[in-house]
Amino acid sequence: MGDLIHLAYLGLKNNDINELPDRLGNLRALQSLDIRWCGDLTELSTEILKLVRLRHLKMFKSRNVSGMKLPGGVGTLGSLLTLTGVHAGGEIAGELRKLTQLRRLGVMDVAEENANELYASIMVMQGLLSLSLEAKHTFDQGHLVLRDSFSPPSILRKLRLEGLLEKTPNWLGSMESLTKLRLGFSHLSENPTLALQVLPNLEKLTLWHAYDGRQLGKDFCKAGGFPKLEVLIIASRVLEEWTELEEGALPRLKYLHFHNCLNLRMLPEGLQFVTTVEELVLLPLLDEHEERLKPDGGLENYKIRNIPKITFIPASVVASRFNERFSTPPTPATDKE
Amino acid sequence: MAEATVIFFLQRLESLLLRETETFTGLEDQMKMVKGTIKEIGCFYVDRGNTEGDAAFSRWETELKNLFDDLDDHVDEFVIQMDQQQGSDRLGLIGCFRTELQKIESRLAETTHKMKELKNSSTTAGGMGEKSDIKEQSHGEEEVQTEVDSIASEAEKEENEGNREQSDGDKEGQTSVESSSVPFRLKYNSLPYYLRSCLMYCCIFPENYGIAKGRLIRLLVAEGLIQEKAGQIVEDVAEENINDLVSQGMLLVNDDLRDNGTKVTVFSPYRVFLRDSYITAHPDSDFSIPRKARRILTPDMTKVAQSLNNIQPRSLFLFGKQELSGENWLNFEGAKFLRVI
Repeated sequence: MGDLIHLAYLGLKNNDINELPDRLGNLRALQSLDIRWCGDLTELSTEILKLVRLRHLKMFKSRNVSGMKLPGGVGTLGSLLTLTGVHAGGEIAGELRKLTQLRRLGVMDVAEENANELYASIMVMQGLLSLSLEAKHTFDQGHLVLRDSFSPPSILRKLRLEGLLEKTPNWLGSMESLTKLRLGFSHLSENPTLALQVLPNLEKLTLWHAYDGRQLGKDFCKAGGFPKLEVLIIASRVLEEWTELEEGALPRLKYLHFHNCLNLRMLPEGLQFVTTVEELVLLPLLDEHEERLKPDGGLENYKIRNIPKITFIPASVVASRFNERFSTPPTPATDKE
Repeated sequence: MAEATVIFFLQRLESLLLRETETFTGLEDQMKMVKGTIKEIGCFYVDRGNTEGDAAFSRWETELKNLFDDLDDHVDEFVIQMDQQQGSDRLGLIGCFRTELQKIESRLAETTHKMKELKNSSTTAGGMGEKSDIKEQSHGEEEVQTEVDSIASEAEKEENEGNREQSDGDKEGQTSVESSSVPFRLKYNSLPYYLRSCLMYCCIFPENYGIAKGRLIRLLVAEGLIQEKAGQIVEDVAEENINDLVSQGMLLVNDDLRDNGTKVTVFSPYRVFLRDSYITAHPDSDFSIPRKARRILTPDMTKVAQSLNNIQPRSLFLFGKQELSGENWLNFEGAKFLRVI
């Protein structure tokens, strides 16, 4: 591998590779290295520092989900535009400060001890378009440490925050360039959409166990709220009912997806006014709720009658399939994307 | 279409010279001359604009493409060999390369000569040129014809075979694929060279395979198929190109909303006539890989490993889970030419 001196692109995603060649640094033409979902790889050696033409470094460690450890000196890779799946520990937070040219950054294992330096570094990346910040053990109530002094560069288009949040960051509602936002395992006690519905360019919103309310009401989205939103994905174990939606809310919504909403038993009154919806997905759909959504005499059917495509799996089917596979009583599945 | 070959080769050569300054020490003047000639050919295309070429012109293009393929091979091989040699052995290599370059130079000179003739013929064809001019021109054309006859006839043969296949298909119900593809061909022909290259590159992938946009951008950049624009990051130019093709309906956006990221596929009418534009091999079965193949797609590396011994592919796409046991899978001669895996 070390002889391939013309190699500019090396995509090893999804391969069972446990180590990279010793002479990785010989690949002097390399621009793009993708080692996401690669076996046991946990860190990169200093060989990576020889790849001075590297523009895109995409990483993600699949076992014991965490970021890739990088050697000190990564800040010298002045051509880098993409750097994702980085472990936040060690000296990396400070190294990042030198990489002001980055367009896409993804940091994992963000923690108390590295937060100050990390956020100071991110704030000087004025060309940043995409940012992902993940805490450790996000699906097990890991806290995502943010700082009050921190706000990402305002030209940011894509943002992902994974981990428990105490409150909705106050800058979130003023990120006017955002087109995609994912809040994962935030378990907020206040509804974040109060602040988010004013975002003028937001096209896709994923609330993945983001809000622990049992009820969504009228204030989820007022008339004219979420003016460009096309995709809305909600996952929540707690949500029981979405009571009401104002006429004129979600004017561009195309795709509405409820995932793992194991207690959801009511769709909002007013959903029938959102005529742009092309697909509704309910995974799973409670059996009694299915009864009420049925076309022949279902009480809630009028809300969804005009949606061209509806995809669902009844809860009982999910449970029986689960039993078949494991022949043990169903336990709550852990959510992983 | 050779316009893309010329311009992208020049771009690549410039960055290669920048990267491998040491390797090319002592060859600066010669490389400069080669670059100068290539630039001249590039200018010819700019002057020409998007006019349709006649038969003589397409013969010239075929020849030009072959020439650039050879040049590309020589340059890459030289860099590889230099990388493995030390000290005095290098001098020998440089000597060999210099001789190869001289051969290339004379072929280039010949090509530009013919190019100038073509240029004259196209400018005089419109108005009534002077008699002597016409005489010269027709004479020139004859010369071209005899010289490139073998190449041209081969290309024609291939084309005819393609047509035959297509008309066979017609009989089986699909009426006139050919005639319905005319508007698509016209539209394609009116594209600037960089958009054509982009579209052709997308055709490498299987028909039902959605290519993630981000990945496509990174691939196009790595393959050197994006035109450089002052003050702009190449990745942004690549994205503009893709968006441009999408808005023209030539690339389709696969809007699987659940999924993260946008995926694109080529609108099928364009595939019909673009399929073999890049020399690509998809060895699914016991297919033999053409010697000149530059890009190879395979679901099973072990199957093709044997047949890779004689070629110098630039890209290797392995689909699905591969059994890459040991270190043997990249153990073929041409591997060092790879730019994309």
